[in-house]
Amino acid sequence: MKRGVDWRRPRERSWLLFVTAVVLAVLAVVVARWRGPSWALAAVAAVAAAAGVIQGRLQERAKAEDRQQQLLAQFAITEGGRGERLPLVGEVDDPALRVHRAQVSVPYLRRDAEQELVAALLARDPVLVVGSSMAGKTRMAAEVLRTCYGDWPMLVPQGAKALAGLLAGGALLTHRVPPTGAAGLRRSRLPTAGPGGGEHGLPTRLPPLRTRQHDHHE
Amino acid sequence: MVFQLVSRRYERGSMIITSNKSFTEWGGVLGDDVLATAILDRLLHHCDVLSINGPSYRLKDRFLTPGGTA
Repeated sequence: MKRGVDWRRPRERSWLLFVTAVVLAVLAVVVARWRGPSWALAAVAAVAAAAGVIQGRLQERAKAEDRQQQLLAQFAITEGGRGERLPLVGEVDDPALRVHRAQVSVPYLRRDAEQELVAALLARDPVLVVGSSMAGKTRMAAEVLRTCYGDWPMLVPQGAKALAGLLAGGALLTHRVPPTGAAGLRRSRLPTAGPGGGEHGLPTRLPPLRTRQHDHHE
Repeated sequence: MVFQLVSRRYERGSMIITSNKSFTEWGGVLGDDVLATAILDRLLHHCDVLSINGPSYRLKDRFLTPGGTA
């Protein structure tokens, strides 16, 4: 299957930066040997200056994204275990979403609170789901995530220390993260879900946390 | 760790937390009452609290199956 060129991937990005640098060098030579009218020289110099600024920004952004990718590849569970990409939400199973295993496998029964949960997520509000043990709190959250964010990459820390590493590195703070590569997260849009039924941009997702209670059950 | 996570996500984006503990028990779970208060303070500021109660869905379905022991 033919894949499109993604300039945010490290290899393509390196080529882009290289080509930009070459263009800048050519412009510098042109400016140095220019014998035409002065206004044209000024225009070329302005273009070169603008390109230089853009080149610098691109380099900074590339470094930040590389750092982020290294962090995620080091601390997050990736598909195939080789840091190629994060698994999608729709691909991860219940244990990865911290849903306790039931003694008997049962189909999911939709909860009345699901609509409220979706609405809160659309509003970017935090949601606290409380209730008695085994009432289906985490299962409901997992099902809503699968329904609404099934095509989003899922960031699952490899453990408590990995989560600390991600936090220290600021991996969970940025709202913009690379879409592909070793460990990218992609901003996406919801499929039609929620009371409004429309599409809404959403912030960066967070990994599920392994709670003390979960460890106790395990 | 939880405090760091909640604190950094505070007013930045959505977040789902599930718990079967009442708020008064969070101090015991997290091992620090002050920390638990700080977390709850941030969480409950804009938080939607959804309460799910009733019998276990797993057990409910178990009992509904023909071989289930009701």
